[in-house]
Amino acid sequence: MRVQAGLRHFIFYASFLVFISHTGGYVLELVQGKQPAYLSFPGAFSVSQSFLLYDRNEIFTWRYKLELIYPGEVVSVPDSIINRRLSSSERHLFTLGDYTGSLARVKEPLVRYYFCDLSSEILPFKEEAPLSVRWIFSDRTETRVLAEVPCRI
Amino acid sequence: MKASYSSFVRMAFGVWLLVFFLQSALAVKRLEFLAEQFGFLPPAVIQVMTMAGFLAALSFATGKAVRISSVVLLLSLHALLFAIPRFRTVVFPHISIVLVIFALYYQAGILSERKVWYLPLFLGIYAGFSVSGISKLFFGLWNNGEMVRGQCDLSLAATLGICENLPSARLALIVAVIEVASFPLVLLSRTRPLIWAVSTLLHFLIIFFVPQFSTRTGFFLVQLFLFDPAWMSSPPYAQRQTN
Repeated sequence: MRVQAGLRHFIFYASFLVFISHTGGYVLELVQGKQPAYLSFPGAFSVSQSFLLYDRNEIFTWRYKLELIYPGEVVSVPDSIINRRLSSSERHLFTLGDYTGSLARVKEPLVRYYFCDLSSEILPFKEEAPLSVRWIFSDRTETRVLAEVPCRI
Repeated sequence: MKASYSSFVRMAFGVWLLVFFLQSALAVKRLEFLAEQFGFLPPAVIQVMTMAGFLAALSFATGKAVRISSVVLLLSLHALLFAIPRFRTVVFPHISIVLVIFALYYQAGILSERKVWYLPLFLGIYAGFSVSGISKLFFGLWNNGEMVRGQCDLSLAATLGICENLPSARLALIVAVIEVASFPLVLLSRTRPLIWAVSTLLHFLIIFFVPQFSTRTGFFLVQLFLFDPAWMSSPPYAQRQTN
């Protein structure tokens, strides 16, 4: 019985250490001003990796916009369409960042899956998919293109 | 932890997990797509783990084979989170440690050996709150209320038009102060029920003012898990007087 109880406590404290390491990781990233755990995520946009190194002081007001790029024409995706297409957590992921660094996990196929066929909703007369979807980051101080995902491969 | 309260908390977590796995099961095609894109686990494994998680959550909620159900829930939950990283939110480590406690210490309707796990868990969770609060105090854009306003605009409260006149800067400061105070106040047994009550109320309100409903309800349930029924029978103030 004692061995069994000891084993139970050992498993609990081992799990607890893993749990605590999440808080520790958060402290570490605060100290370092970045989110090291997510930077090495394979296949993430390289641009969003640099984005994650962005000053954490600005992180709470980042904002994303999406643009569809047609030959000779750029069309902004209205928020209403983004809202309709995405669930609340997805909307959170794409359009209003949080401080978990989850955007580093967004990959090109996901953007393509969600947004490349938006032309039918935004511009009904367009028969073809846009050339690409441009993903734009903006805050108080700057606006920059984070990624441009090709729709026609 | 008394049997009735343990059962209540177990049922609440069970329902939360049931909804999580039900949503996953309903979105299985989408999950397959995501799993293919991220390439961690084959879609068939995702399907099996989702179904296993759903059945385990049902068993957990109804109080049957709770310890085994907890283990299955941990495995299936983490398989899903491993396969689809974007599902990972900050609540899952909290849910996981609660499931570990159920797997190890749930016996005959109660959570035993409270002395081993209760205080470390309480301190660990509230230390996290304090760290979060300190980080907020150093962010100008939290302090001026822009973050609170931005979150509110995407929340349930926005549908009621509450966000328009929200004193967001003041609320942001109150939240940060409560969070910073969490760890110091939980260290003292006298102030522990007070900070628990304030924090639980805060997490309840956050459900309505912040998006990500499932994450926020998950945190609220973790707060309920930390409630000590002994506070009701012998409040720390009363103990002090009798001593």
